[in-house]
Amino acid sequence: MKKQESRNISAGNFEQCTKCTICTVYCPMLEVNPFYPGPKQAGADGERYRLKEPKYYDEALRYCLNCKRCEVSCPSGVRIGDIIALARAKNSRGVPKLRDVLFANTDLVGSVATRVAPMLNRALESKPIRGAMDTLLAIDHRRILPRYAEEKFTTWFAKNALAEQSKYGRSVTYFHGCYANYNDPQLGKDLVKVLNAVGFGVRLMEGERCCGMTKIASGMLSQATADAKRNLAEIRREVGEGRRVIATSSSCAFALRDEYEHILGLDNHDVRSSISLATRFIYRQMERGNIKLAFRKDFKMRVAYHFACHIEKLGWSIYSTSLLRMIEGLELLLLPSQCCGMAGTYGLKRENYNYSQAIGESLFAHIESLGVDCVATDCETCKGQIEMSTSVKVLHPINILAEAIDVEATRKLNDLK
Amino acid sequence: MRYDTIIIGGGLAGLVSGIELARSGSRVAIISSGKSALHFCSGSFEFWSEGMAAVGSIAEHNPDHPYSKIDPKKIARYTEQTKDIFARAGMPLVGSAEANHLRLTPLGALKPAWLTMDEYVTFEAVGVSEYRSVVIVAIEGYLDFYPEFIAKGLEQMGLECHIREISLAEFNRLRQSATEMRAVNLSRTLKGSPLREFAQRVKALVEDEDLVLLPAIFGLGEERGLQIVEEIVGRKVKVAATVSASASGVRMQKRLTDAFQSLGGVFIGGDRVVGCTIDESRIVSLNTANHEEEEFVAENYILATGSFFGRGIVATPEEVYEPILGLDVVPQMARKEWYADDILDAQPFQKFGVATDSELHPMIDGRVVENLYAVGSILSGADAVKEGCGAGVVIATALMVAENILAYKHK
Ligand SMILES: Cc1cc2nc3c(=O)[nH]c(=O)nc-3n(C[C@H](O)[C@H](O)[C@H](O)COP(=O)(O)OP(=O)(O)OC[C@H]3O[C@@H](n4cnc5c(N)ncnc54)[C@H](O)[C@@H]3O)c2cc1C
Ligand code: SF4
Ligand code: SF4
Repeated sequence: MKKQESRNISAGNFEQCTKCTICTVYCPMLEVNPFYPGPKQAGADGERYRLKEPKYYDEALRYCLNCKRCEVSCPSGVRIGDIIALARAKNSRGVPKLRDVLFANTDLVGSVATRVAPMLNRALESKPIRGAMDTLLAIDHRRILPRYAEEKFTTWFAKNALAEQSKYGRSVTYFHGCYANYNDPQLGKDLVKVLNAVGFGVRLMEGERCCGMTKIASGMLSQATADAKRNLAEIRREVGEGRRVIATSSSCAFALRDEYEHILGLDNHDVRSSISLATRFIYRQMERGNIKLAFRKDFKMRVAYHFACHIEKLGWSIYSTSLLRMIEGLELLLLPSQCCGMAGTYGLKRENYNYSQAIGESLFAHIESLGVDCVATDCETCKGQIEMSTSVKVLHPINILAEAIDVEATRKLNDLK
Repeated sequence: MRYDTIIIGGGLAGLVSGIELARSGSRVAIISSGKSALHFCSGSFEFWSEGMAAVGSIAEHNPDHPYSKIDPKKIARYTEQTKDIFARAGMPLVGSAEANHLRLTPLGALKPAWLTMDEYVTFEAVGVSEYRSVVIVAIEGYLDFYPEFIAKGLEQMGLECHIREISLAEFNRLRQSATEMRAVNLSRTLKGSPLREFAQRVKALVEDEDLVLLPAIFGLGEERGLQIVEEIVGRKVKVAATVSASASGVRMQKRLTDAFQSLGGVFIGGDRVVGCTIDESRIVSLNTANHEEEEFVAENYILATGSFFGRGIVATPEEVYEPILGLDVVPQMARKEWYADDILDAQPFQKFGVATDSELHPMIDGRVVENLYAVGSILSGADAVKEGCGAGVVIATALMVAENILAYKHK
């Protein structure tokens, strides 16, 4: 009954553009930066020229945040962000700076940094060192960098959790990503706590690599592809054994599902629908009655949910907000859906600092005006940005869930001893 | 995911029916890919350009028109309901079910309209103006507003027109990227001190004119932008429509979406309904691109996916079809008959859309889908351009279907 839509499908659907300009209304960069040509011009319009003659490539495309808000707004399904990201990777003549290489290699840097975490965290807070990083590496001295954990999540897991995971009848694989591993192991611990309480064992993939999002954003596609291939092989094994792979980071999930295919050109269709987000996984298990949650009677929290760009692109914020709404004693407010300005490692760079803060300005003011206990978001870099720019603490929905549940009662409800 | 009603498409049609249903306590979700035709809204809604008096007899002359399915006696109430929805969303409208008023197009023509945002300049009828003279304010470097054309239109109304230009440092920053000096970007800039600075400059231009007319570039940076300007200028200040994406349209999309959500409605944006399960003559569930195997289940479904622009109907070189359910599209004719040679003539393709029964249920191979309704510009039989009935069809059908769904629920 359903007929084939449209022929002439080209890379990124660029010929579907009707020149309606709607995307330009939703581009956060265009709003603050007059030097950025905007999604319509940088995307479909520019692509026509670039196909003709690569010399038409405009270096100003580097300003693009890869937030994909343009794509979410386009009524014609043009993959504007992808078109820009690919044009950038193909045409940009600049050699990546040392800083960009450091930022892109979140896994390498993270594994070194966690070893020297106490010293490093102190150093990153010191004024002279931040001044030096500004001068030498062009990392803005006003920027508060994420702290590193003294013990990686994977180390904690091996020591404290691994042994008991096989006791559970059902299991799911956790793609922790760099952030939970090196910067915020508590997020991983909380996920394990919640999943165990409802009767799911957690598995990690030994060969997990960085999802590659930061490398994609810096145009380092060959390194990203190497990581991606390794991850896909690992994921295929898990899926082959009947497990889903879930991430807590919306950007990791988005990279594994969509950027691998659209930007890196890798075929992931066999595992794509088995890659999910933690909140989505839990919500869907609840909806089907497979698991149950019991909440602490004394739990009270007023929370504002922030819609990170990549969860908007995935279209999955509904799972996180629905899950938060189930928590007794939690009052949920929705922030307007807008970019916070951080966009991964974009806002860390000195040349972007002012744009980054200008993009988030109205969001920060809005958050301050609400008088909430915390902001909830599924993205780690939004967390860093909002915590630096407001006085409000930011938690992942999984952190909140872990705090809200009554573990004993939940285990009972799920027939666990 | 389960709801009482799921609406496919979050343009004017989807939002109006969604707001009405959510307001009555229904659990409603809107699933919408991309943003809608609202972004180009002129600030005015049209119902029937020949005049509201003719509304009662439209069905007689146009049996295939969506209006033939609407009880003309209800139009006065629908008009009030629409004004109420927009007022609550913070965008009051002027206009009535009795008579059209005149609005000003970006090219200075005076056209009949049903409802208009109260910020816009409107007139009761040709030659009837409460203003004597007007200063039309142009903005240096802004090309989507044509003061000379507008002056010509207003002179027909007997107004004495003066065109004066201002510039603003904040706008010059936008001019660095030539294509981005657009209503939406100007509007975002106009907040805080640049807005006040702008108002001061306008004030300095005004002599003894009793109306100040500005391009419609307010409301995004500062919700009360135009009121603030009016307070500072100390004269009556109104706006006129611009071309390209309109600041008012963007604001409408946003405010209506907010209104829907604050009534408890769930808005799932950036997603596309790609398939559905039908059992006999009822929809059982929908699937979307982003949610994969997750099923969206409801008692009733409303299809508000728009016309060609929203991709509610799609044209290939051979045929026109409805892409989600393969609904019957009418009229079916050979491609060479889709267009009239003179672009100013009525274009047959404008009337293409899905066929429906008297309650706006669409059909598949002539068989009605019982728990599905079609509303808005996806309906066949209306020529929004020639008949001047775009938003009228959208709003009236959206309200009618919401009313019917609620009536069945209460039975
Ligand atoms: C450029 C333009 C300007 C206009 N200006 C005016 C005006 O000033 N005054 C007036 O009276 N009338 C005007 N009209 C007439 C117009 O048709 C209506 O005013 C109205 O905005 C149409 O609303 P709609 O909700 O039916 O469709 P649309 O606004 O097209 O909305 C349809 C929505 O459905 C979504 N959608 C489509 N397919 C799917 C899918 N498979 N899954 C999920 N979502 C989907 C689309 O992305 C879109 O958001 C204008 C029309 C156009 C095209
Ligand atoms: S929103 Fe889509 S169709 Fe419209 S100009 Fe942008 S890319 Fe083109
Ligand atoms: S991805 Fe984001 S920053 Fe880049 S063009 Fe699209 S909306 Fe603008």
